[in-house]
Amino acid sequence: MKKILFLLQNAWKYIRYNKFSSIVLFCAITVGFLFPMMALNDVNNLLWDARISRYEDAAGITILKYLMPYKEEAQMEEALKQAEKSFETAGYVGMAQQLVYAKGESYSGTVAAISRDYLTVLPCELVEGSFFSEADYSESGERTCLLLYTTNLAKDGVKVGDSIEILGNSYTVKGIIRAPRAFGGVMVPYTFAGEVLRGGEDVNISYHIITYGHKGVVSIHFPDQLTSEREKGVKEDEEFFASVWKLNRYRMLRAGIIILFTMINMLILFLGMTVGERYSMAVRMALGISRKSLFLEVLFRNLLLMLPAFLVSVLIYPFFCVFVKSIDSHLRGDTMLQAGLGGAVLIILITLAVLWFGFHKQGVASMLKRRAE
Amino acid sequence: MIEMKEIVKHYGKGDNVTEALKGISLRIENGEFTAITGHSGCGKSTLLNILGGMDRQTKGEYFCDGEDVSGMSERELAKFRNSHIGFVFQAFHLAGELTAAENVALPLGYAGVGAKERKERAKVLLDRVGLAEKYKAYPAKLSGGEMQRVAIARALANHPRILLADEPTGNLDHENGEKIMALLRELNKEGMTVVMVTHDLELAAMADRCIHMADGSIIAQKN
Ligand SMILES: Nc1ncnc2c1ncn2[C@@H]1O[C@H](COP(=O)(O)OP(=O)(O)O)[C@@H](O)[C@H]1O
Ligand SMILES: [Mg+2]
Repeated sequence: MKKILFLLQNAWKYIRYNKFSSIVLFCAITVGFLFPMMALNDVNNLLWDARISRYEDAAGITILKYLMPYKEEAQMEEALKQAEKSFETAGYVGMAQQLVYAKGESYSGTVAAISRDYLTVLPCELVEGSFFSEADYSESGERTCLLLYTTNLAKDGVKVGDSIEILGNSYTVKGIIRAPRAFGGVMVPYTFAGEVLRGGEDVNISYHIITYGHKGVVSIHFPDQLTSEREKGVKEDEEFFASVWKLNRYRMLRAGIIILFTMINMLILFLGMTVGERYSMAVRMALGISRKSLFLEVLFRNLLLMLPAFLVSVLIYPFFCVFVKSIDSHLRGDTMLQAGLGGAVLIILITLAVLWFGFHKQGVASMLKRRAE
Repeated sequence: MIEMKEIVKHYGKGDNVTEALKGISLRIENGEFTAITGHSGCGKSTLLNILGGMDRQTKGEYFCDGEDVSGMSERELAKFRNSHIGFVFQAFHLAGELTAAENVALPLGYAGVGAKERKERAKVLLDRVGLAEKYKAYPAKLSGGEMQRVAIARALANHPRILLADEPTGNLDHENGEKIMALLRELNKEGMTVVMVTHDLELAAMADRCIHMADGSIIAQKN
């Protein structure tokens, strides 16, 4: 214990003494941690995509689960239950999934284009406002929608008469309904299916994942290859997922390269630090420091820089994300801790392995001598 | 007692081999003050490093007080350095981030001595080399002569039996060099075995015994 304290103090004094290089190193490590975090996030997104394509029918649920910010746990649970129920009856529904990433304060939900008989097929109860009338199905009429009571939109205070935006078009909220087996969080008349779904017009109901901001602005984002009817859909889904996988391979490569580069950079930094420390280590070795103590002292030096740097990088990560999101919106933030810790452990292990197996073999005398010359 | 038999040291491999020592046999009694002289590159430092357990010979035997130093593991060798050997270098090799006292106490800390005792012993040692008032000074604020005295105090910290000094006065002016020499003499009088490498024949003449080296071999000895 006495000795550990002594070694820690020594390590700290060394860092303090070599102020400039310590600060440079500190910043480098901080930035160094950010990139693997980002890269691993990307990998996480990738796995997520894979899961979605694996469980086509459960896709809506999966997406809901992952898109919901954690602070909205209770709402998420409710939305999930709702979604699960709706999928029980999804047999005849043409489904399409689209990956939508949560952005900032956004939530997710589904939008359904419903037919006239929808409301008679499924039991539902009007909470506020009214159902669609014949006029709402008219293509030339005003665009209207119904909100499911349990969706966040309704809970966020979007009221009857407000308008929300779906794919650039404004829809006036006509009513809020409670429907235990409802298909969508937002329902629009089936006449607008083509607009909303960008799929075949013969669909009567379709699911889509949307994201929308707190203030009731819906932004919805669909690719053209979205499918409608199931029979047709299966084939088209395959094509769709194939394209997703292609994208995934590219992303995986990109993430891999980023991680590799970062690790190599960090390794070089740490090796540089170790080489720079050779002299101070050689002095200690000449004094007869044991290998264990030497090892610990260098470990402490690294940790004293690395742990605060890691902390700082975790703290600035969200801001960094905002910045990167403005460049690349495909980013999520829940794996950063594992990623950062993983990176840190890896770097420490490599550095120490080099120290343990390589450095000690060089001989004290020659290290001291090189310095003296 | 130090006993070396046919010590050979090679640096490098294949065609690039340097024969730094070409069969050195040497016996140094406890309490002796030995000076080693010779031209630059004749192998003095190499010999001293092997004596101090900082380097290993390529061939030959080395016993220190009956212990086979060449047979020691890295760990045992480190322990040997820590407990038996005090090393003083031409370039001082003080830790810049530590004060004079902390430098002196460094070997004590690695030997597991607590903070309070380290402080006390560092004070005594610094007093011993006449630097009591520079207790809190960092090496950057010390003169060459003072740094070397701190280094000597550090070398003495673990009560070594043998003090090895590689051109301890090489970086100092004549006056400071003599002070260091006087200190070494004093330590020797108290029973310390001292082996000192030097260029300065005048200083070497002050030793009990003078070994002259050339090209990796001992060519003359004077008592
Ligand atoms: N680490 C080393 N690697 C290769 N050659 C070395 C090394 N150290 C010393 N030598 C060589 O060994 C010889 C003796 O060196 P050294 O013992 O330092 O001489 P001195 O101290 O007498 O000036 C020199 O020729 C030197 O170049
Ligand atoms: Mg030399």
